[in-house]
Amino acid sequence: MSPHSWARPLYRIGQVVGTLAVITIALLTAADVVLRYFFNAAIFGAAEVANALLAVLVGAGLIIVAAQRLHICVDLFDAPLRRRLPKLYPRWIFGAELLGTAALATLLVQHAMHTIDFGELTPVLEFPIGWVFALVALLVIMALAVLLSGWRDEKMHQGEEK
Amino acid sequence: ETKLLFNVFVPPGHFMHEVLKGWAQDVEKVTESRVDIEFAAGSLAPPPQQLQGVASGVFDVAFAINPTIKSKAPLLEVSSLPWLVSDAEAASVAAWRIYEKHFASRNQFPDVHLLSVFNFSGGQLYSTTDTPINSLDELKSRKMWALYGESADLLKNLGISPITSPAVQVSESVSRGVVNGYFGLILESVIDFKTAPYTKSITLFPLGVTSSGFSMFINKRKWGSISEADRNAIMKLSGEALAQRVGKASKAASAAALSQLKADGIQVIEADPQFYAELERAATPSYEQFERTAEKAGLDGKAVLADFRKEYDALAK
Amino acid sequence: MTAALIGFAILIALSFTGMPLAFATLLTGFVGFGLMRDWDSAVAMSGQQIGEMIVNPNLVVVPIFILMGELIRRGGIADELYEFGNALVGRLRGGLAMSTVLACGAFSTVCGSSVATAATMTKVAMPPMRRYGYHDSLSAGTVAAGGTLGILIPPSIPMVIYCIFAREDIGRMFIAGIVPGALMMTAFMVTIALWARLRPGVAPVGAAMSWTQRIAAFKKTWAFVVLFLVVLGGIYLGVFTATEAASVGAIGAYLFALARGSMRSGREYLDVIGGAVGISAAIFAIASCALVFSQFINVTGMPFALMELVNGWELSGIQLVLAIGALCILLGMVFEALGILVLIVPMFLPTLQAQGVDMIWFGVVVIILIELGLITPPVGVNVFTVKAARPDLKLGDVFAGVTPFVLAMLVTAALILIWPEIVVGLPNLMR
Ligand code: NA
Ligand code: NA
Repeated sequence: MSPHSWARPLYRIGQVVGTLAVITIALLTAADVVLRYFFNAAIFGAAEVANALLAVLVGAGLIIVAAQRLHICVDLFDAPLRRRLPKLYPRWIFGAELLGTAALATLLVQHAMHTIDFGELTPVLEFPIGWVFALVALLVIMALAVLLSGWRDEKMHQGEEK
Repeated sequence: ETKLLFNVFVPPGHFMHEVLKGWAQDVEKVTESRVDIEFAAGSLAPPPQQLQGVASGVFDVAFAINPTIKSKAPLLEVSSLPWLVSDAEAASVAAWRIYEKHFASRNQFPDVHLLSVFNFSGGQLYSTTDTPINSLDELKSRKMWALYGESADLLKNLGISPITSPAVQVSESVSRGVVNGYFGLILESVIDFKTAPYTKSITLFPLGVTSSGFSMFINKRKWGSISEADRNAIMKLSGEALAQRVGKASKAASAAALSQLKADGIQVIEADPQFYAELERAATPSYEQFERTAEKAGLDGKAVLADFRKEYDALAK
Repeated sequence: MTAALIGFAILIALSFTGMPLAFATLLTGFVGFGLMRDWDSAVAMSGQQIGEMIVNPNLVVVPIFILMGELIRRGGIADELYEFGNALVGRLRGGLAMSTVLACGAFSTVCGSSVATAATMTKVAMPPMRRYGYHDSLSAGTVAAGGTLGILIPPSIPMVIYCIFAREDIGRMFIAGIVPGALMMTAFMVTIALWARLRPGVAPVGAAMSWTQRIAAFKKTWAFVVLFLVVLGGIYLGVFTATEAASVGAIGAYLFALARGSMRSGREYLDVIGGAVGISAAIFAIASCALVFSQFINVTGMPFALMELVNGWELSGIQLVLAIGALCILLGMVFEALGILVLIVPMFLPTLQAQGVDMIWFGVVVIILIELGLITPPVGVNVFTVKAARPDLKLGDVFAGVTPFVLAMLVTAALILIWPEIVVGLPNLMR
């Protein structure tokens, strides 16, 4: 993403939240092992907290994916398409990413609302998991904003090699 | 004609597939094919989201394990209480009768119609070391996995902190040797979830530590689109009839599993009476909890339990 | 059946337009399901599947293993592995290339990705091979092929994803990859030896080392040995679950990186760890959208139809596996690892399970064929990775260089098809 983009703070949030989530998962899991082996006392529900953090990590990661355009693509026809359709092709890719991210956000909002409504609880800690999905949905909406902020860059660079 | 999509979340090869296929064929027969039931080729939703899947119409018919719908139907916990049942057939029929008599009028499911409730056999205790677990001291010395719900709660009441998860994840802990005992699985799950090769002995209880209870339901809109005569015909095949069908199949599966496990060289012992009595005492909080739940719903929990025991005892003979 | 095949064709066509694989899969799966049932249920189902995937307890290992791989790349462990490999086989004709294979294999035991393995080993192994006059074809081919070991030798991200779909035990699957991984390393070394014998010009003879030098080189690999013991030893001996091994391993890798002067600024944390988080999210996007697609396949009834077909033709399990293998090789020309898993596994899994095929064994076969796809033209991700790390290489040279290794992989796959014990022997011993 461009260094002056208005969405830069959102990108930073994605990096920080994602980094904290993955560090916490690793430390929590390792601590659980140590406690279990040396003190025969597992951290109750540690795995469930790690699961919830995984969801947060994916949401935050999608912001990074949006900013760095990290989606995995089949680029077999990338070069010829870029040559033949210098305007249309980059816009198509950008539009597809925009649409896909928007779809993910919508589906997650829906799913979060359903799950909260339904009162679904995690099996061990009996935590309402819907709120975790709501947080992930928020992060994916931020990813959408980060992607949108690249629209102007995309127009400027269209037709050029990435 | 009404087409119904039936989702079965248990893995292929589980006895429930056969039972439910038989039920579906009977439904098609009595409705003269006005109701046509198709099965999804693989489970369309994870186990905890069966009710949600039916309510939102992802599929039309499904069954769910009761703890996953606890927030909607806490009273169904009754048939899963510790040291209450072991015979799946008697437990299933009793659970349906108690449901009809005490719970049905409380209309717990707004978006779905309940077709039946049923139970599997009672959960047992397993050791993966050469020493069987048959005393409280031995149990307390172990690193344990417990089926989440009643089995895990019971160990917590005894001051043991188990690793706990749904049954499908038991192998992750057992096969790695992360634990050296596990608690609450029924005998056929030991084979289905691949923990048999690591298991050295089984401690059988007179009544199971818990018996997984299930509910089966159909989407309300779809149910309404079926004629009343056909609905009545379907309910005749469901309810108590289906409960008995499932219970019988679970009983047969447990018996088959027990002989296979024995043939595999796994030692099978009866629980020591003193050990069992101590475990029974540890279940008191679960019963108190159920009585509170019943009270909240305007029911006398003790009376419901007494009713349940009476039905079960008569059936289990 | 028809609906599923149309969906399959549309998915391939969409992905050829350059649309991100995740979104092509989501779109096809969502629309297909909506048409088979109705739109409300498509929305509910898709949300449920995606939600389930991102809180799946078995997938917690994915970001942790990716992080561990990134930290290890910072710690310079790959250089030491290469030196030790060189101390062992460097004096043979083609010895530096063989050392590269050994180092790739060793690095694969702590890294779950083929691309990361290839990228790391290109930087480590290409310069010395050039210095000693190795032909670019041989050296680049070795690194590109050696890098594919990253997903066969545990840990392996595609194996984790496969296990989610196949409902198999990840620890068991990991252990199942060890012997085939060693076999493939051997096949690669034999390939290099034959090549160097037939065309002595491509690979000169190296200098012999004394035993003291060898021992010194081995001592330097202690950081790797520690991590190796923690991760694989921990899983194998049953001390850890895969997630726990990954967590302890990642903390270990972090300490090594720290001790070697890396990870000293806040920015580096965000770049390295944030980078791992980004890669993980891209993987989760594909995996969860694949789940949506597989639910569409489930309602088309295709697995049932396929089962009838298999029964009607009286195909045996092995014939079915061979047919799927051929399809994998075709798809591998264009799709990378996850793409193949996404396309193949949901289509054939129920049928294979019904045929009683050992799904761990099948998984390893699929992983090997996916590895093949990583180095076959026109799209060979590992070949591109080597080229990207060494832009002066000619793409044609690299593709020519991987050809003998493609044969070696096919031989390995054939051996595994003939003797399944190569795969299932070790996990069965674990009991
Ligand atoms: Na690996
Ligand atoms: Na390829």
